[in-house]
Amino acid sequence: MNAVARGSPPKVAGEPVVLTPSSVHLMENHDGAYYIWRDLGVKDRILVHIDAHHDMWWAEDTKASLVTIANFICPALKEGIVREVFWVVPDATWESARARRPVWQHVKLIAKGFSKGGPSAVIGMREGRLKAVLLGKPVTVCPLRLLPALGDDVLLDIDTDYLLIPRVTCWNYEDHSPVPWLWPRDLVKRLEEAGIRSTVRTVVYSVEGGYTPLKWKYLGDELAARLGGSKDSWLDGLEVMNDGARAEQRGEREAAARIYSEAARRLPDSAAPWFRLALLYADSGQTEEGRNCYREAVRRDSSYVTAYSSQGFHFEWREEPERSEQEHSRMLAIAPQDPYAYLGMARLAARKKKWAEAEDWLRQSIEAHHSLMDAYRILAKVLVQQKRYGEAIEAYERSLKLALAGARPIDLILTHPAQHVFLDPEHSLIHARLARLYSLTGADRKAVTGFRISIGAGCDFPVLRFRLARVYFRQKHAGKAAAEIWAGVRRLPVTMWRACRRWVRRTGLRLGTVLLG
Amino acid sequence: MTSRIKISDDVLFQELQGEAVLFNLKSGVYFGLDTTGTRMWQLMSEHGALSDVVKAMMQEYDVTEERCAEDLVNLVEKLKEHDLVSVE
Repeated sequence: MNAVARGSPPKVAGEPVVLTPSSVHLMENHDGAYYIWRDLGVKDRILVHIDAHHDMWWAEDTKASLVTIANFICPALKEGIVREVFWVVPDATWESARARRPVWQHVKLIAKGFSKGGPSAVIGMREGRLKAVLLGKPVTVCPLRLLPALGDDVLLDIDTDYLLIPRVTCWNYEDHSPVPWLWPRDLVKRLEEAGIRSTVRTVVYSVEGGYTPLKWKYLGDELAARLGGSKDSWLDGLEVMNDGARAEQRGEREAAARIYSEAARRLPDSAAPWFRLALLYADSGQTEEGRNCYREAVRRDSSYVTAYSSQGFHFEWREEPERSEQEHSRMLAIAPQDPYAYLGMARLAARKKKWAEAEDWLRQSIEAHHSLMDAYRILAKVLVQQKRYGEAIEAYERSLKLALAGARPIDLILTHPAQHVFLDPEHSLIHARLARLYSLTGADRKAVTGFRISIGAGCDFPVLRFRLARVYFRQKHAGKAAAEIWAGVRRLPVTMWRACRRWVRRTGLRLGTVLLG
Repeated sequence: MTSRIKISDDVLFQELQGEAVLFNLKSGVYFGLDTTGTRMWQLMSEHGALSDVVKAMMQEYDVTEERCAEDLVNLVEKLKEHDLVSVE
């Protein structure tokens, strides 16, 4: 017998790590860099952050809230780990005033957020670089060619996605270039030419979240190897991989396959050449060979089984459903049991309101992965559309249980795996949906609790108050019902004002996108 | 085991397929309970006295008194930590 308590509040501590000061630290999620700096006892350093994303959103209280891949530089600034930041953006971001606009937008928003914690402002363009101050500490944004000579031993921090995202964007999903706009060898050479000196170097893959496509994950290995001064056959093998990618880009598939096979021979422990071969075979209809190669890739590196094995979700978020479907289909060709590809297909079917088809995909997804929270949530929605409320309740309840046991949605901003925290931004909303279903099926007591949880957890919307009032009326609690109606009516002006603001913002964004192409 | 448990009025309990979630309206903290924890919670809200909870649990589960009491105390400690119950 064991009573298990779960869902405790966030812990911020990272895993204890043993670090050597001169090593290159390679990791998946970018917030891991903060824990490495902190555990090394780094203080008062210049950070050279080479990334297609700034990762500098304001974090109110980093002890209680979460350090994420989107804000980990904030605690580093607050705690005095970093005294100055250089955010090095991809070159094309700086080619015109229009291309720089998203960076301006970001920096304005960052400064606004940081102003809650201390002197923060955008200064403007100085010598071709964008300058700002956050918490009284200087921040400079520029491309690599404008990075000034820095005499110090800096914190060098590189995201692999920098090599693949040619332009910084704001509120849009970015484009990936078909081949890196800058290869690792050239980046390291340019850093050497710029005189960058660093004994604490962090390199991140950023595959999870879709920032670096999985097929380019090995570029992170190459960066780490080159920064670490490796000159062995491992690096030669990675160069062969790059030759293969270039051949593939030229449309020379057979040559690419030969080169990847050679890379697989030279890099016997790497999943990368096998994954590339699997994709090549899938594209040429040789599914059996593709499956074998994917199996070899996963055998070498289990992280190749992820929601981001393909770019299916990335294209879905970019509102490109056809490309998304192609990606998921290709994934299913090489991994017929891939739960994420099934989930992706289901999401696409649900968008088209093909409920039966969506349900079919979801059942296969759940069959392949019994604890995939997203699958249960979409299944519940699909079942509600078919008025199968009892089954929908079951699916929503299962998803809540999974969330409490630590499952997280696939599109959530990620945190370092060392943080075992409760991460389910939709949790209170799901309680509301579930409460409505309880109410529809006559489970009034559970409906009341569900609505109260949802409202108490932040979903204090008039519609939920009115629904709760209706249940109270049914239970003949007129006083409680009246109180809920009054609370709902009082919330109406605020809710309507917010809805209007959202509409204006969305319309403005759409209009802006149309006008700016 | 002579203590009594008082469940805070700000705590909501929702059962989810044999397991449960507790939600503290004041702190906004969710707290998940597995099947055994859920049963313990139900018995605590029914009886209040921890000794009665242990007795009831021993009738339902094949467990020694020591083990049952230890698990119950562990759960109560965690619940107290999150202001979900108080001990009288």
